[in-house]
Amino acid sequence: MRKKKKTPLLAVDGLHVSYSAHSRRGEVAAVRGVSFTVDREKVGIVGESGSGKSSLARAVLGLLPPSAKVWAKRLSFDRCDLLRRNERSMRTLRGKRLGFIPQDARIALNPVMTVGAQIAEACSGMSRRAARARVLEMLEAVRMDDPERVWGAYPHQLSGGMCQRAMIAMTLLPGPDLLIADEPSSALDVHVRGKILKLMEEMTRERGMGLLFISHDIDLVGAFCDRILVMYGGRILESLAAKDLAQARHPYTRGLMTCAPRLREGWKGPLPVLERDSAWFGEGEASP
Amino acid sequence: MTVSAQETLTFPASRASAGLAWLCRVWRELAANPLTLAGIMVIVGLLVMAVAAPGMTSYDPLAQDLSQRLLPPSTAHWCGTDELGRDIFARIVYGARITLRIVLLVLAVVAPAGLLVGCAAGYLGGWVDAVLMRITDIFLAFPKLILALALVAALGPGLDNAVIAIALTAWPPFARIVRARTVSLREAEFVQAARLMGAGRARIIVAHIVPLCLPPLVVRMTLEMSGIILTAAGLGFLGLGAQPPLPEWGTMISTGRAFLLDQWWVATMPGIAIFVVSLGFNLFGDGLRDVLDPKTETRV
Amino acid sequence: MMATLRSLSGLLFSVSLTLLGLIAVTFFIGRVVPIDPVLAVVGDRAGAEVVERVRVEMGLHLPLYQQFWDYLGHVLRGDFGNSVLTANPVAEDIRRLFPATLELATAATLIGVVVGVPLGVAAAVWRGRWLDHVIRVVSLVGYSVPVFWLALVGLLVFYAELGLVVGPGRIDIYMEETVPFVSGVILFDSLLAGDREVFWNALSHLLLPAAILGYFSLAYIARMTRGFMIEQLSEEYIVTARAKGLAPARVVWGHALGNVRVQLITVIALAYAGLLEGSVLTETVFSWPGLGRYITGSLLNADMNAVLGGTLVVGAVFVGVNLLTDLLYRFLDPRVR
Repeated sequence: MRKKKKTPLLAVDGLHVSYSAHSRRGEVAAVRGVSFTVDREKVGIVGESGSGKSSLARAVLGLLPPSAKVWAKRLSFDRCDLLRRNERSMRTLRGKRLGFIPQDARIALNPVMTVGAQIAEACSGMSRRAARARVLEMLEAVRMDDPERVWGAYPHQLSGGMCQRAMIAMTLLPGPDLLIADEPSSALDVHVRGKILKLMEEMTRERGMGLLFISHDIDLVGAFCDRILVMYGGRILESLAAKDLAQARHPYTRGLMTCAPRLREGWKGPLPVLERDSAWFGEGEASP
Repeated sequence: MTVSAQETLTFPASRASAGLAWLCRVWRELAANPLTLAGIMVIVGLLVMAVAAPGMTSYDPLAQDLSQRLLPPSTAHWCGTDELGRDIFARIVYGARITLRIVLLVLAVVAPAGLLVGCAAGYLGGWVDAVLMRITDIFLAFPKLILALALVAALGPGLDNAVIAIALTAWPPFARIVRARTVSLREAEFVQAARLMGAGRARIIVAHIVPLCLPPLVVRMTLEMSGIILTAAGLGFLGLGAQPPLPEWGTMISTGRAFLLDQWWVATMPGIAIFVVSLGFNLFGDGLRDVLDPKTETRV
Repeated sequence: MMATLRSLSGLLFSVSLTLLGLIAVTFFIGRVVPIDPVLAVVGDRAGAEVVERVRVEMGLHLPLYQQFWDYLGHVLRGDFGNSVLTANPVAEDIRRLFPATLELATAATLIGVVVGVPLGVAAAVWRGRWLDHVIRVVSLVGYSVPVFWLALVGLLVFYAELGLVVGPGRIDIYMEETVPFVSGVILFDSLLAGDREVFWNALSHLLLPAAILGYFSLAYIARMTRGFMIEQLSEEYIVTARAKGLAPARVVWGHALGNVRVQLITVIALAYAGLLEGSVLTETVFSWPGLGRYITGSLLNADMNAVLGGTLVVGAVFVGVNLLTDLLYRFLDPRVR
């Protein structure tokens, strides 16, 4: 659904990502022609492991290893052409306007640097004192229990949930326009997950950010996002509004929903298994 | 991982053919790297030199001819002659035999010893492990060359004593690697399964653990070879290795030292030989390690 | 606090055991000598009673464990016996000569670190490009070339042919002993005494040996640094740092290098210890009057006391260096604390 009046925040058209493997197998195509847009809304990408969703996220940010080949008909962020930008100009966008929240915050933080120092790196051009104040302010905003302690702590001294909150604080501090979250809650305990998601929802709403939320959990994405893109084998099979999820037409989407473990009253018999159709592999979607 | 083409799966016919297929694959990857290939060629060259020495040069490495002493390199004497009129190239070629002999003897002693000590320490654990590792640490605590030095000083100079001395200093790293591997394999599920089926300790160690310890051991062996060659050359330089008139390369450098300023080739040529052989082993070892244990990519 | 004390005492216990083992090994090497040590002292023409008397004097009639106990006692008191050649106590000879070796090893390690670490980092950052290949070749050459041969070639080229550096020796002969012996390190002592001429003279003599040995340590350090950095640069936190939009210099030096700090220190310590070992071979070439030349000289004269004393000292320094790195490890890595 392209907004006809203004340019979307993120516009992706025909994105391909492939990796050249070491062995004779040649290239491995991770993303095979994906097109979508993201505006100041919450867009969820659902897929299994290997569907290419992480590669997609990193391709947008230009964070893939050098052996990865990225090409697209169009890849732009708020009128800036991301394809043609060199590394130096990408750096002006990253962090400040394009934020990235990785899956496992505990390993995504530098283990020998204090959390406070790492978050403070996201403030550029401030004095040490001003940066510290800003970081503590941000840590409070993400509902961290003891901001002072977290400031001087190392990542291994904090729990997974706290690390993820610190990560969110770090990403939100410069005030980006678009946030790309790669399975931000998958590494967390269930009860922490709810809190973190609630936090993200508030933050995006308050600041009017766009959010690209990547997950393997279709129920989660259905409840959390505005729009959903279903990915399989490097392609988008279906794109629909979250509220229309129950009326999804593609068999893969329906399969995912059926297989999601739920407490069902009086359920008897074997649990449902997703029946795959190799035809899905060859399908693709044109621009939504 | 999504693949762009459909792959048909084939299975090897037997354990032997699986091993052979693996070897072929390793060889192909090794040969793909030009530096590794260069290293392999150097090693092959060393073997050829040692085996076919009489075919490579018509001079006798021990034949003295004082009328021909200290001649510079020329078409007649490719590396010149030394202070006793012996052809240096011939001495280098025959010296390859000595070098090869030292390397092979040392490795033949050290690899099984390291395997034995490492497996025993790693698998049996407890006080056996503590005692063996303490002994290993003590030997590791000595600087290799100095310990070898002291040993040869005590035993008396000579090629065999040098081999013993080098072997006694070279075994600790192997024991360490094997022990580390054994410890990590000890609790592996297939080992537990074997134990449940009633396999005794010896059988588990020999049939299951030892084969999996071999790849890191082999990689380490190739990486240590150049160190062994350099240590042997060092001992030779100090007069503790092969005794004159044997054409050991380190000894040749030592005798050539007296003529360094005016007849540079006497000391320089053997050194080039040592350098090239050592480099060859290092290149091969690096390539082997890259194939058997590849690293990931970086981007800043 | 208690945990730290306990682990420290465990460490010290382990180190003491290793030192004990070291002493035991040197003792046994000394006893393995095929030449009868008594004959080495009295010569082979002495009469039977003289031989017997000296044997008792030297304590060689006692059982082996008794001899070891005596040996251990002597060593711990710093008595390595007397040098057969100079008749001086070996301990004194070593104390006189060791600073020269230390001076050389320190200078070479300094070169190795200052040049080697940046080279290793550069090779890792630009992995696969020409700079990486050049650095790898430079490293590999350093690994493969015999140090004594490189020293000879260095002398030949830079001293004899090009005349760029001064000749062998630690200092010009007429300047020897002119500066009071404080630490034994001439560079240091001359500065303390305010004697600039001696300082520059010593420095100019140090140049070539330190450069040659420095090349060795730089080859090792650059190679290891490259390996560590490659490992770090593929970690997840580097992606985060890049995602924050940080400059590459900050990512490499601020983030990645901080994580290899500890491993680097271990490597540098090993390089230092390795240089002590290499000194045995190079000091003869440069006529550098240090422990290495002492050991090799004693070797050629079958002066076992001196050889074993020197071996023990170097071994003990090795152990000490390892202990230091272990302590630094605990101190520097926040995860271990």
